[in-house]
Amino acid sequence: MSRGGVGTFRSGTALVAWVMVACFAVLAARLVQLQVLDHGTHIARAQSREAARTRSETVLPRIRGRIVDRNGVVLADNADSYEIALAYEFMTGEWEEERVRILEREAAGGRAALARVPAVERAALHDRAVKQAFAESGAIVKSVADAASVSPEVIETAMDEIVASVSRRGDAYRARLAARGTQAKERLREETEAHAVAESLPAEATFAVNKMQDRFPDVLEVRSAPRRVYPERQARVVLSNDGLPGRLGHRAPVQVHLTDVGDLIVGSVRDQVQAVDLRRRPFDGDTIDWGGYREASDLIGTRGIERAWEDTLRGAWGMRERRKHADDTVTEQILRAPVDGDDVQLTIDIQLQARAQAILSPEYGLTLSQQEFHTPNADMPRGIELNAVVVVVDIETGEILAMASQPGPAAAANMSDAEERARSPWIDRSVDAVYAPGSILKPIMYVSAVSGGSATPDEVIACTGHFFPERKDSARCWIYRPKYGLATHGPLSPREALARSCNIYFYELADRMGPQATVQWLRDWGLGSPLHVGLEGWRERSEGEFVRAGEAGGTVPSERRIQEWQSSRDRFSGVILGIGQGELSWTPVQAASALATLARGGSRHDAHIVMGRPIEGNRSEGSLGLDSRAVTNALTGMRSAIEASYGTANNVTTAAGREEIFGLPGVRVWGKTGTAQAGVWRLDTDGDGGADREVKDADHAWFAALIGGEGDARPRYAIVAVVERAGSGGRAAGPIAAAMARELVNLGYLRGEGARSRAIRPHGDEPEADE
Amino acid sequence: MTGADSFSVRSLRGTDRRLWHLGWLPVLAALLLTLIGWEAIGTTEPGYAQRQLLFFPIALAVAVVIGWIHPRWMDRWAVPFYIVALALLLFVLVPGVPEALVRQRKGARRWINLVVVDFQPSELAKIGMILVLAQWLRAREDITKWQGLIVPAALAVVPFVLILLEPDLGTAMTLVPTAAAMLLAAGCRRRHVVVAMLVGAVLAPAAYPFLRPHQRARVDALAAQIVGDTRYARDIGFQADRAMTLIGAGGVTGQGEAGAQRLLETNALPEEHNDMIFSSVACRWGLRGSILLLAACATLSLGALAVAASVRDRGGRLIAVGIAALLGTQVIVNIGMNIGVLPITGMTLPFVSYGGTSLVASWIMVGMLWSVASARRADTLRAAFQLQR
Repeated sequence: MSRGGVGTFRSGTALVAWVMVACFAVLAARLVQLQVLDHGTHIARAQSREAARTRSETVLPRIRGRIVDRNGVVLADNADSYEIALAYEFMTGEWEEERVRILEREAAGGRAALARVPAVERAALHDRAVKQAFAESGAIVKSVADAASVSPEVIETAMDEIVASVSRRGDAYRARLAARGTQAKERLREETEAHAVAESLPAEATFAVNKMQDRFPDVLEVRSAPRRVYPERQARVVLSNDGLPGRLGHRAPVQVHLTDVGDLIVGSVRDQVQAVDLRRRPFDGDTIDWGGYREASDLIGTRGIERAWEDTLRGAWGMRERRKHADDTVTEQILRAPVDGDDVQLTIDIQLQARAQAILSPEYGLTLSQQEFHTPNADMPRGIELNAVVVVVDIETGEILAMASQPGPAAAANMSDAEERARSPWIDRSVDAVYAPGSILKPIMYVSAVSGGSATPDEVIACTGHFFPERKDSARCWIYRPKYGLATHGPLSPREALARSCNIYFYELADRMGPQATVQWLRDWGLGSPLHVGLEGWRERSEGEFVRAGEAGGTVPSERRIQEWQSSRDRFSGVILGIGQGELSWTPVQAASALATLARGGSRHDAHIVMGRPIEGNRSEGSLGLDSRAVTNALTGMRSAIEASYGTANNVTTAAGREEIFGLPGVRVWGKTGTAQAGVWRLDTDGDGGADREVKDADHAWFAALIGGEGDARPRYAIVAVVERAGSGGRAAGPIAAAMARELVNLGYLRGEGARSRAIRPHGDEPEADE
Repeated sequence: MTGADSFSVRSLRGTDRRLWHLGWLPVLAALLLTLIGWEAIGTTEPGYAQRQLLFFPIALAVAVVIGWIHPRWMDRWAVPFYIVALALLLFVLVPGVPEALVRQRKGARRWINLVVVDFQPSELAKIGMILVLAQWLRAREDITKWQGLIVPAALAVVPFVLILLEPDLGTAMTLVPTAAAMLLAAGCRRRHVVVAMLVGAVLAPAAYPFLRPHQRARVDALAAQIVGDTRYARDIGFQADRAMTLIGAGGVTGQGEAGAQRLLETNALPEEHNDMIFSSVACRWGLRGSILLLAACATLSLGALAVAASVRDRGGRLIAVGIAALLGTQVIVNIGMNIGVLPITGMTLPFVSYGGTSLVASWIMVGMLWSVASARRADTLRAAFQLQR
């Protein structure tokens, strides 16, 4: 048979048949895969989409709690502000598809009627529905754009970005589920809910959108999204110069304009959720954490109380369910009402805080270098701004009334990068900077030594100028110097030793106690670990592991270090602990808290900044078991330091002669000066980022003052002031403590006898007028 | 022309027609598929199902008439039919044609508005190509050579290009295997076909840059889908993703009418009564329904090949092979895109998808098969012999 005959035909046809059979076999195999092997996955996805189409959940926002001061003055509040959110389905275009279907049905008179519409008419009807749906979606976008005073393109870009971001996360989420072999939940919650496309809008801007919301409730939502405001952050403080030494005391009252009152304490928020938040508290974890974080607009504390009390302030989300029924009607139900965040009341008095910050301001002059009453230092330039801290603690309760740190955030705006790095205006030095304690530790060392049995309460120790008989250049008393003629204090009672701040007395006590006992006592006083005053926030130590951090704990020598001293027969390192030098450091708040504990006679009420809420780690029970006679002697010694003419806290020398540091009428003061050796200070005077000047003996100045009313047997408030690199504590930090005591008097804190006359007002009352 | 060839009712029908023959196989398969289609369309669009029911008698009547006509007339009318089909394809592409006549839908100009129904010239063109190729190839011996393939290739390429311009890549692509199958059955050397297919396979990737953006995106989406990448599942791969999900959701026994209706609606599968009707079938009746439908399609295509094998007339054989290949390709491409192994193209599932033109065109092919199958051997042998050189 010729080519093209029956045989060839059959062979060609058979080939075609076999190809077809093979193709059908492939199709059948794929069907088995989809419908048998992967059925579980597909039915779950289909049902999930069914659920998403007919039911959606919207997370309801809540209002962040306020922060108020001890008198109820609102320090952090929420101002009315609105955001406009659009349904995710609207952003993806799915809404338009659905809307076309609804409009077609409406135009035809129902689903059944639509099916009877002839094809040509149906096509026209479809085209009209498409046009109308597009027009409606365009009008929705335009109304949002008008409300936000931007062009529709801006809103569309925002929508595109949201869709890109959410779908990326959704895909990653599904990939993770697939990797775990489960597809039970096919859509992320964010893929079914509304997202904000215009934020921070005033109420009037949303009026026009409200009408659109009434028309398209499933698309558009105007939500309350308050902004965080800090009403007390600005203050104009007028400070008198009463009691200030030298020329400063003869000026007209100084007006200081502050823009960061309480900023370091109250802190701030950001409005963008970050990955770290989602790692710490994801809203959609294995179970829903109603206080958790979502990829949505939110306020998150970044500093201060806002960060430390984030979990208290943020409240809990609510949930609303929306169901779409077969007749295209929509019903809503609140599944869980949102819970607003709790208010946090601080122990701070914002008026006193403002005055504390004003006292430390350069305008007031006490923190400028080389004032006439400061220790002269030829290396130190005159008039440069020094870092400083002042802390006021209520002795009875441990409540921190004020806590100022200079420079503050407002100063950062005028600093070069180099200066900002050098001066760290964002660090709250009260709780986050550590200094060697210097001599303000001496009362604590004395009481510890007596209470621990290493000395008797009235033990007299002779000052010989130097502690080690064989070494005159080591462990000396401050008075045993050539400029004082290598003088000594001679035999001293503990009261005199404290008033004169003799070093030898306290070297002797430290030597008797030994370093182990000394360190143990210091730990009991609160050194070596954070006080947990209430400013610690969550910090990620390693991926997914979060710890509370944000307060420094200072240092005490470790056991291993002490053993090293002992094995090398190093007595010196242990002995100098007695005068607050060597391997010791603490924060100003730790110092104020320890001195307040001393003033209370040893009962524990660690300093804290939040009222009425337990703070983990903050000790408020028990006692140090102090010897009462020792406590009395210590306080007497501190009183003498102020009152006796030989007391180190008695006076400063100015051009006019000797002037009392505390010349305040109606106030009783117990004080202790301290000068913490800080070595050479390398200064950058031209601000180019490199040190160009060295200042020797630039020590940190400490002053601890316990303040009471005139008739008080015991002090009521502890004030601790530090001026970095200012030299002698009494000269530089003393006037700051005195000015602070004056403001306590001015604000009525020392009225009455033995009790605080300044009543604490529950928050919620009207705040007092600005200064 | 003999007396038998003169135009009369008797001559139209011819003599010695058989009643019992293999042409029943495709008829029964087509009936079953039409029934499945009618029921499946009614799952989500009961109104469309009613309209489809109205189209069916028309389609059946046309098929009966064509089946009644003797196959020799197909040979005679092949060229005019082909020319008319090409003219209609050109008509939809002419720019100035009023929109009332040719309405552009989704960027394509494929339909002529006949008021009561939209008509797709490409459906006629497919049949026209089969008829004209069969007529050309039945009397050719030189197709064993390369140059012998030039004319048949040109006859296939002209409608291919015109349909491609609509654009309707899916329908155009069905012409390729149809023409290839007819050439193989006509005696073309296998190696020529293999070489042509290899060249096509090699050149296919080179054609990628010339594809329209949405076509390129669909190819990308398919490639991603095959490797399990769901990146495109929300845009260009949306339809395929939803189709696969719904097919898989059907399981072995299916979701039933109400369940399938709910899932199809809430999963928003586009074209669920038309190009994606297979997903509706698979979701409603599960694997059992899918396999039944696949078996019916296989019966239809293989039945057509059996018809081809059972007749001696070379033209009739080639027509049957062409129809088998065309229907088989449509089925494979349509189901393939539903189950995610081929890119989405505008391709109906013959007899099952909603649409008057598609249904009528499919039944016309069944009628043609009946006509070829029912002609007696002697009659057809003589005709074939007469035409052989």
